[in-house]
Amino acid sequence: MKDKDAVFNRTLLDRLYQYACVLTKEPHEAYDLLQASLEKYLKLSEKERTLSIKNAEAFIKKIIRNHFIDTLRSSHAHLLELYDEHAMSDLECRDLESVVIDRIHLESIWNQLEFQAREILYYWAVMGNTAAEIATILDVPRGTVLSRLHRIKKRLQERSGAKDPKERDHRGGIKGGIQ
Amino acid sequence: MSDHLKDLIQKKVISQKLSDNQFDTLMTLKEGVRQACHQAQRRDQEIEGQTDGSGDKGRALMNQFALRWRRAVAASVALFAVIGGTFMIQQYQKPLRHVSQLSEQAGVVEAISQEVAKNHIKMKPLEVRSSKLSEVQRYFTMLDFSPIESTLRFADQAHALLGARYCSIRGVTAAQLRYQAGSGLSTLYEVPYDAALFGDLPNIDRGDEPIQSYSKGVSVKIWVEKGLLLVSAQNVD
Repeated sequence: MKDKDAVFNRTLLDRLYQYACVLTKEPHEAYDLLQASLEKYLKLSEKERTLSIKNAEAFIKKIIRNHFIDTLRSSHAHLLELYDEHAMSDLECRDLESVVIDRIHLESIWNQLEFQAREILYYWAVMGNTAAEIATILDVPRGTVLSRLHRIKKRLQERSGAKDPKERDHRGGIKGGIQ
Repeated sequence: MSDHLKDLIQKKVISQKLSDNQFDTLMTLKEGVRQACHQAQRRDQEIEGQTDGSGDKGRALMNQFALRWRRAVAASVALFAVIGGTFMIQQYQKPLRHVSQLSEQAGVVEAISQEVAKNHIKMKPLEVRSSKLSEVQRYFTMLDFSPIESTLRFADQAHALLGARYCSIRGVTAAQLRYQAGSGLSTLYEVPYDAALFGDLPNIDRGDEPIQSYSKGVSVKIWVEKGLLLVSAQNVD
């Protein structure tokens, strides 16, 4: 029971809650999702736990993600992927490093992004993962992560209406990094 | 006030924390599940001991059955308690959720208005040109719905269908129909209505009035009709 108890500290639970918030966008839904996932985790037998849990945080995040996707299945619209989902792109996480944006723009874009895109931004910005690491965590090809990054970049561009970032520097919105 | 995208996302995500009440509830959940696991383990051990010691397989099976039955009853009682507790918490949080839902709804309407107004202003080229709805319907082979002619007229003006193109609303693939309305152009966006995604919107089949809003100088109306979410956009005269 030692590993199971280790999960129940404030810091880790907050981190799991933050991840659930990234997926759902709604604090109440995030809490319900976290509670249901923790219950599932706690009910695992000792044997299952030993076989499958090397990193409890990553494991519970996977439970949270699967549970979230299950609840979305009835509404296939959420899972629709755009047509260029698997298109290759040479964009890397580091291309987003220099992007500057104001909070209001971020809030607006965040609410319009699909959960897959928010999840990638979470692993990149909060957990500090690279595209290759994100691909491993999410169990998707690296090309998929890159094309989603490309889409995020496009969204940022569309939202700001910036064709030439240098022109927008004095008006706020997005500048730098976006070519 | 602009900031690096990475820093802003970090701040946004890390600012979300469990309240003390939520944390306490999760700790209670942990204790509850742990106790249930311990009890189940003890019972399993009891059953194994009885089976090994007596040598009477028939009695051991009966004991096993009785213990499983008691465990099932205990689990049902625990489940009932959890459901009851959850229901009470939900009742307590209902007013707060209502306020949150209203503000979320306003946000959805605002987001749809902005997205549609932006698309209306862009007036991207039509992918199919026809004044007949049936031809336009035949064009949209990738949609899982059939675009309709709305019964709601654009500001009571005579309007004629010009054509259509694919587009999206809130990430959902949609049909955009373009009309000549008076001296200007009107666009009508159609997408399957999903209350979970778009919230509770006025349904004109029930006699509701559409939501009217303005965004980027464009008049936007939002309503539900025949199971579709319809959004019209027209320049303000």
